[in-house]
Amino acid sequence: MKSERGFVLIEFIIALPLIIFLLYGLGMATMKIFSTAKFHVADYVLEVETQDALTRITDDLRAASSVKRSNAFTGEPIDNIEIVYLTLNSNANLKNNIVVMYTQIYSVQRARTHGAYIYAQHQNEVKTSPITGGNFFGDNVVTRLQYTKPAEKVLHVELEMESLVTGRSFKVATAVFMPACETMNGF
Amino acid sequence: MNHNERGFILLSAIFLTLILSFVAAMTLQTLTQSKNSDAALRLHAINLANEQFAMIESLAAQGDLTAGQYNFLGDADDLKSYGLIKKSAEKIPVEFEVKTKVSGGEGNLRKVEVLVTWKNFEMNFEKTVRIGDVEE
Repeated sequence: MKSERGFVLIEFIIALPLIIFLLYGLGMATMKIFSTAKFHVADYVLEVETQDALTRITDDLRAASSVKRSNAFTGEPIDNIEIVYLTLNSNANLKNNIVVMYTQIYSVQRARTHGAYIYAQHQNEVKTSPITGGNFFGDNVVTRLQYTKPAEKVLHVELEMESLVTGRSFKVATAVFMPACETMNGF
Repeated sequence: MNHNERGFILLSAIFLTLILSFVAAMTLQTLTQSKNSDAALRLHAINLANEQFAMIESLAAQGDLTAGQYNFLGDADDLKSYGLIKKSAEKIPVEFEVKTKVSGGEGNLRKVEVLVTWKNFEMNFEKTVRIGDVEE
């Protein structure tokens, strides 16, 4: 029967470009989906890492008895902060409690080729530990970290980080009241 | 049987399924992005409230906090500059508003209520602060 003889050459010639076009479209859509998913994860990592770094810094600032600000890199809006806090040593062998002083430093350093990272250092530790960057799902660098003094015993902290995967930045800012802070240097 | 009534062939069904799956996946991605932006806005609202509390606590420590309404005492730029910034430096056009009510509490304690609003959303925060300097 004539109508059941299958494809002829001319039908194949017309069908082939259509199939190629369709497969190309599906391929592009697949790539777009994977790329979007990768960007979403990178955005999430950027948001979490930025807020986490801000929280760590503000938590330590809250207990500060003195703070000292210094510029990390000349001409760039990136600061280091040195936080001194006091605590009581209530050793049972001691007649009186002894006030002990500790220092916590958050510095920004260019330790790798890509950009700047925040490092935390406790006074007794020789090594510093990075608290940002190096995430497998998206490496982030610090583009702004500024401390200002808007009121007595208050420090305004502004942190902006950029994802090296997406090129997008995420900014967080807040202020922290330091009830025991007596000295604020570098403001 | 009429040839025109044979319905879908297997190949048509496969293509249709593929296309519909990709459309669904793309829609899901867009929805996720939208939800994530909402989370970033809420996060910023919390940071703004903390900023306002810090300024209020500073006033309280100096003994300058009186009962009444207060506007945002922090950095005004923080009300509109926040969150995810695209490479084109185009910022998300959402503005926040922070209102505060300080009311009398027991003795030298004051109740501080902070309301942060943006678009059609709002978040309430409450804290008790002490008037006067903190004793060591």
